[in-house]
Amino acid sequence: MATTNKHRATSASGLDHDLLPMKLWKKSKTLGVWDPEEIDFSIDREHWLERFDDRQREALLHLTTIFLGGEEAVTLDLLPLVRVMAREGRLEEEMYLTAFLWEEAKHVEAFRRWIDAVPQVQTDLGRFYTPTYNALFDELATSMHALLEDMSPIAQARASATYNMIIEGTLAETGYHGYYEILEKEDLMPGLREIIANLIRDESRHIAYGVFLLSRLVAEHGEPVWEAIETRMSELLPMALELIDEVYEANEPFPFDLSKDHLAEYAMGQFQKRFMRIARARDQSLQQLLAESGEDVSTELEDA
Amino acid sequence: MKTRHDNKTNPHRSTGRRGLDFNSLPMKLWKKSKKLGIWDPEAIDLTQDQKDWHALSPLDQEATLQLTTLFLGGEEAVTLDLLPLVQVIADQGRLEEEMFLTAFLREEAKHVEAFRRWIDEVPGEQHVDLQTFYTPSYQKVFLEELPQAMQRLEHDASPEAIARASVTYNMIVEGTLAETGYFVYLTVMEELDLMPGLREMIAHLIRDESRHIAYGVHLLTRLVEENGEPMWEVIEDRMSELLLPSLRIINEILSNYEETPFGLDPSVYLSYAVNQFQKRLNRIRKARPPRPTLFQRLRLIA
Repeated sequence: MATTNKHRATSASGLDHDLLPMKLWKKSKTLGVWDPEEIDFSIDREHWLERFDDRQREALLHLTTIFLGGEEAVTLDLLPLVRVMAREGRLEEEMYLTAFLWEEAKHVEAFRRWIDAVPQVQTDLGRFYTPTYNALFDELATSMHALLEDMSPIAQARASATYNMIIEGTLAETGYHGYYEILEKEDLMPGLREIIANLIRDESRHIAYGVFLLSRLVAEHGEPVWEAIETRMSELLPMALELIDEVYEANEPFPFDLSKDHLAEYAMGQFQKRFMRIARARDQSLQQLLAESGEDVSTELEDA
Repeated sequence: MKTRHDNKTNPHRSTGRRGLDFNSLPMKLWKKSKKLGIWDPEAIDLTQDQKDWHALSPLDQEATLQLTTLFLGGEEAVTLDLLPLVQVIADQGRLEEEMFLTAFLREEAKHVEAFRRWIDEVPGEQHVDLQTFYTPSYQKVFLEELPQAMQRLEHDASPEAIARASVTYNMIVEGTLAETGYFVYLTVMEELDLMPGLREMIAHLIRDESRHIAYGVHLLTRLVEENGEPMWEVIEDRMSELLLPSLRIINEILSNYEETPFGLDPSVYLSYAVNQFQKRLNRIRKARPPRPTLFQRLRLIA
């Protein structure tokens, strides 16, 4: 039996610490190790009982529920992508994705702990899911699970565009931004804000990986991949904006000082920035991209 | 695939009535891993190891590098090969177990980083293919038995297939081979007071692996409880299939050297490995449901 190149780590190439995924791995070992259990929710509980009216409580529980469900979905649905990287022998990427995955599981714990400790509800919260929420997370599950049968660059691009660009880069980031803003304005819910601040940092690394992966796929495989990304984005962006509408409609008039237009604008801005970065890969060779991406990580993370 | 989000039932466990079961064993291991599993391989000081390395005889250098290489390859293998099990557990909706497995998986990736860093910075063996150190039985276990048992789960998620996979991964590779190897490392290096950085890594690894093995025992116990005696037989068969190739790895390593490195007594390590094997087997045997009495069996037939 041939033994050469069965394992990467013991081969002559070892681990490439200059690759962007290894830089993200390194960051995740210091920034991604926060423990949801250590966050104190006692003031949050007081605020919940004393500082909010019923409609505000309902809206806050609505937002937290759909974030919690979303974090569970991404914890489950990342696995097929990790498998692709393992199968392709991209050990550094797989290593980073193990940290990424663990962080998603911690986000599930964080929101659930908050719901157990602050609203203290023990009912099925599925009532907060709106039709477009269900449709979007169905798109996520479908495009990620497709990778179990089809590891082609186009299938990977559709999966990552859905997961990293839409679910994380547009919905989660915008949601966390808005959530944080309404609580900060009134200096409310310090525990929940601490969770969100940590989440935003974790997600910025995840999105940086997605930008890297999509750029790599474009640099390696050219226009067909680029077109797949564009198509996927135009399929899903209207749904993402529709979901924002639905959440506002369910809580009409919205009980916090946060305009829907502001959120939509933020979402589009974040989306544009990343889209442009991936578009640049259309004119880059893989080597150019890899040489540049090490520097990109710091910019992407600072912007976040 | 079937649609999880059908607008009628809540597709998620975490937002359901039950939420997360923080008292379950996987969540207790998860809790521990957030404290004990976040050590950073980069933070370990290797300066004394570099000095110690130069003081070793060529034979002892070679033996240390071989052992570390076999561990590094093994840690890469387990990082890659755990994925099918995580997928099965996720597909079964066991959210707490999947959460712990994400911590488990990340720890394995950190072990890869740890050993590679040590090889890069202490022997400094960069740009050399270290796979020439792999012995035939090592290849059999790490390049055939482990990946085959784990990847089978991609098309066969039956309890038997899960049991065979977990026995291979948790009981043999982690519970017998890794633990025996760490024992060799630690006893030798401690006696000679060598390689404090490597020893620090190994101490972390042992703690991480003990959580992984505890999960394996939990999983196999559950399978035996749910499926009874036939499952126990699957587990016992798989254990016996792998015992010999595992022990042969130890022999093959030692037979590489004309003199025994570090003056080791091989019989000590062989008996340690056999003991570990017995200990693991006994742990699962305890989970076996009591055999039905003759009276109960007669009633079943009637």
